[in-house]
Amino acid sequence: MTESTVKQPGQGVDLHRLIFDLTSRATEVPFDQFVGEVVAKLADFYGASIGRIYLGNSQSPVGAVDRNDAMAGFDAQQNKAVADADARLSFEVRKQNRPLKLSQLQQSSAALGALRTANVGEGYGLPITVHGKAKGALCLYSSSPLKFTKDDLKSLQALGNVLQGTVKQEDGSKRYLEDSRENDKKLKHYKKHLQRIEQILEELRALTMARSIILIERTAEFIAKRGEDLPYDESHLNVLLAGGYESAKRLAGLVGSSDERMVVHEGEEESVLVKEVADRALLAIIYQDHDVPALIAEWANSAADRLAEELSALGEVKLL
Amino acid sequence: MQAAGPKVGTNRFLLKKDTHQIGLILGRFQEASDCKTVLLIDEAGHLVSKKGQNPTRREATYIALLAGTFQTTRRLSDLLAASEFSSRVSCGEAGSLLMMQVGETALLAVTMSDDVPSSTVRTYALEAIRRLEEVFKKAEARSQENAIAESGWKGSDSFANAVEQQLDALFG
Repeated sequence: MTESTVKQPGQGVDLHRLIFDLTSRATEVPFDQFVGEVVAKLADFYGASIGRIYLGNSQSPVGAVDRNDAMAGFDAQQNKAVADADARLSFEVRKQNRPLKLSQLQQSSAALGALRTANVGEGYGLPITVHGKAKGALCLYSSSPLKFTKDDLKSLQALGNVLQGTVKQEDGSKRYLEDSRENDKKLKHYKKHLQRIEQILEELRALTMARSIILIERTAEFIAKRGEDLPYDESHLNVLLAGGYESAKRLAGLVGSSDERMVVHEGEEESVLVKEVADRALLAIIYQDHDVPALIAEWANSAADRLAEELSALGEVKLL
Repeated sequence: MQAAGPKVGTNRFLLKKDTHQIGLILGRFQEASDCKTVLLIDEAGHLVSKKGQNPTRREATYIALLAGTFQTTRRLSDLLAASEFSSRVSCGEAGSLLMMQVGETALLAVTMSDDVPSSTVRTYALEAIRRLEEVFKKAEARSQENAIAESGWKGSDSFANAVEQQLDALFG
């Protein structure tokens, strides 16, 4: 790039300070606004009429400014010529990882002609690098020749790091929001089925007058419960119920049973009926003396069928 | 919670007359309740006595599982603070399996068909358990000397003397 320029950028304002101030905005404002501010401030700093900033391999600018509405009078053809030339300039800058002028590119005469009609003389492309690799480009269009120093490029590298981080953060934030929305839907779905399960347990409790009704996984993890709090360690109870059920089921298999899935532990005052639900859960009804214990088994069977449907729906909801 | 020591399975004072009595109790219980099989096992998984048909061809597995279930049931009964506790497993066409505690250290496992009311079996079982507990109590209270005297076993000295003579003859 020619260094025979007369424009002194920034009119004494330090570019390092400007970029430092700009980077502090990265976390304060949304990404689009941040990029807009960056390109506007840089165009202002260099006294450029038009500024555009490209990131990644995109052929469209992520931020643009037209300070004097220089392009307002362009017709469609001129607009296209300038946009195409600008995209090519940014592409070449990123490809070659060095500053370029628009006039150095081939087939840029149409764009230059259009720019001159708007009193904009030349276009300048500067690479925005991250760890030495061009990750973006800043294109500035000015009526006066612009001068760039190595320090300017270093400062732009600092800006590149911030922009790259912001892009990642923005991308991550979007993904996080999408994931959150998705999880939110799943949670609502999950909650709905869990409420139905609790409703079934409550109905069963009312029918059986049970002290407590517990639904656990066959691996003894807790799913839901209705009834009073039991005066002993419930996780201990769950493990005993699950372990006892599995061994009892195996015993039943040895004496020829294949489909029956119910175990009743009968105590002097309290009894526990354990019924398998949908091959994956156990319904435990802890009840005291009942006039017709057989009815409890019938109700347990009925509830197990209803619970199986809800558990099946719950199984479709994969939260993670 | 502490597991009870294995008393029945390792009790050397359970004499022949005791096992005979246990067999009688189980036999009467099986006839009265019309159940298919009655098994008495200790908590270590040893079969003490059996009446009725074989519940399965894999008897060793069956008994081991019963012993495991017995321990679980005991813990559950401790948790629910019940001194008497039983477990009933529905086995579909094969009927039901009823497991009941006998004292602290043994388990009565009964398989019965669906035709037999479980309440009837339970009533007879409770009586059988009461009698079995009496047998176990007597056995536990018996000292070693009394056990040997009651058993009428006198072969230990003569056998030991005979072995000693044979060894002397062999080695000089």
